[in-house]
Amino acid sequence: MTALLLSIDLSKDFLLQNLVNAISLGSLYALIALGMALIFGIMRLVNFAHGDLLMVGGYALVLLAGPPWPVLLLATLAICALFALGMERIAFRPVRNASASTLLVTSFAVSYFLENGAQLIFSPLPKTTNISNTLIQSWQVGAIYIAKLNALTVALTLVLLALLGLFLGRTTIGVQMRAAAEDFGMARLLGVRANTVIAMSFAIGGLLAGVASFLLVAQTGAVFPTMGLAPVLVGFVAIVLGGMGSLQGAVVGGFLLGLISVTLQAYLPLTLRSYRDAFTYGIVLLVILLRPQGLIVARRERQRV
Amino acid sequence: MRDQARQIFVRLWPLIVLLATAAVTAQIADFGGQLLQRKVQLALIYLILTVALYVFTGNSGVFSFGTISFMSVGAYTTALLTIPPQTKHDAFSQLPHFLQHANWPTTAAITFGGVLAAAFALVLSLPLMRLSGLTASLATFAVLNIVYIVGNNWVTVTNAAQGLEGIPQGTTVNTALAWSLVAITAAYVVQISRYGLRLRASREDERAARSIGVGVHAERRLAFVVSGFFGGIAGGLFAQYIGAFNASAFYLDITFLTVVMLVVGGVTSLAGAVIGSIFISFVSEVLLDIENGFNVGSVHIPGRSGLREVILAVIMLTILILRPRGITDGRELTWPFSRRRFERFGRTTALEVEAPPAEAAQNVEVT
Repeated sequence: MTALLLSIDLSKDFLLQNLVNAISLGSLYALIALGMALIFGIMRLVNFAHGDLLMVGGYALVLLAGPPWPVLLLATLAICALFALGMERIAFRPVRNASASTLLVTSFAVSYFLENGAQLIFSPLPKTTNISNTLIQSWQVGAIYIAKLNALTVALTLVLLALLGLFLGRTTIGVQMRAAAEDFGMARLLGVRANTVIAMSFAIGGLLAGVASFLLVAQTGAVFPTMGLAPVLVGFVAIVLGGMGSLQGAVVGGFLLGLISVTLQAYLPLTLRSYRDAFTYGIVLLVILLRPQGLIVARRERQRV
Repeated sequence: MRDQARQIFVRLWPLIVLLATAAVTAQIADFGGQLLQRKVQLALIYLILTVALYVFTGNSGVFSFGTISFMSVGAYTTALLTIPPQTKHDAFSQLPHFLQHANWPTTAAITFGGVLAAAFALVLSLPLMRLSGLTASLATFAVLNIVYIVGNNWVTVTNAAQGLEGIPQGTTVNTALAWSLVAITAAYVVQISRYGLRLRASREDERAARSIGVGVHAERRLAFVVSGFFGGIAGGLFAQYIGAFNASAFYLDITFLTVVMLVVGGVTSLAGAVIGSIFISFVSEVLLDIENGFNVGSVHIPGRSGLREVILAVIMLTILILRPRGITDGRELTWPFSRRRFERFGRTTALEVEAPPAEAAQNVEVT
């Protein structure tokens, strides 16, 4: 028992360092979850192909490597948004009115198609890329290291959240998207164009995935066909935790998942650490069972009298 | 009296056709060598797996990712009970004492694997079946992940990521066929039983079903447990077929494959599960040969990995978009010479939404 406890570092610096890590990891998770929640809110689609947009972005980063990173980022964003629009037009639009299960299965097929398509074209082996050397450096504050990339992750997330908030609150199409998320049928009766709002939500989801892809690849440097799996599972867990279809919930869920992962990684006894993700899914099950509406309830999900 | 016998015959006809289909598929093995025999065995294992998925998903309309976790439970159970003690002593000395010495006969081990998987399904079903459709699907997805992670890390029982090996290869075409026939029959019995009919009613319209006294939870639970049992059986047969495996054999790839089989065949009919699994097994084997490269005359065309999966995904998307109810259109293969319309199209599909209201009302009277 003492040996178990000894393997755990309880110092304050370690705690702070983990908190810093949790915030930056949580930002990345929030970006991924937000894209999935946006689409789920409007279409009731749990998009398992969302992670593969990150993979598409990754290959874009590898193939276009050369120009300075802001240019590269913009190009990646455009490609991810195009792929997102493409999958909506080709696969999801024809089955739009089917049940939530059918939509789920469709996204499964799209994901499988993209993943294995990438394998067919680029081979299953990882490709490496180095986006920017400066981003990998760290600042040191006391005993705590803050990677520049992590700072950029948090900053980009906050900026994107603010922009998305403005877009959804102030623009006509943004308001229409919120209306559609609340009651799609009613919104359509009032003249909201289904194709426009759904395409828009996929485009924004694609942009968010592009940013997440850039941040992820800048950190790991490796791109491979199945790299979308881990992020999509993260996004899935985060939107369930936060409350399906609630955008605030997705952000909260993303940060919460970042916190949970880092905490379990840092403070689980060594023997249990490899089971970390099993504990995360266990928490997901508990949330589903005890609070199926999630931590933040989407307005649509509330009981109507 | 004769009329009654005829009625029973007509009622059982869809079952007879499917049993015959499975039996004929098994006969294909006689035309080739050992390689073909193994392909047929695998196809029959997939058939059982797809039927297991169908028993829950097809009848309840709730997509379950759990079938593959049940398969995993069955496979590990069978493997651990049948690997010869000497092999265990040499390769897996970390196993608990009672597993070290277990040396069960094949059929007993496979059956026990099924029972254990069914028990696991029962425990899961207590909380999960209270959830609504999509939430229940996502919960089974979480379960799939947990089972996978545990299988991949539990050193003392599953030997973590190295997995188990040295499993006697006891699966034959005949045992696989026998279990397929049992699975198809059980699925048909569940489906035409009172429970099955109620469950299918709740699939079409949960509120309407509840309003006429269908509790939904108990019905879903029963189907989930039956699905768990046959998932476990398929796992046991798979373990005895493959000889060595680790947890990644029971994760997303095989989940996708079984979902393709069911969706392409037709989610809402047993005929869909049987025909879909045989059809996709065939297509998948052909694609595998292409993927490995082949010769046209003297020219060798090299294979590309991923080709099979891409084409399977395209087939599935095409079906979802153009024929969302699958090859069988979600219908059973009913007795073709019946005078009564509802018998011809199968009892459980006669009342579906597409039927014009007047006709639907007529059918209710007949029933």
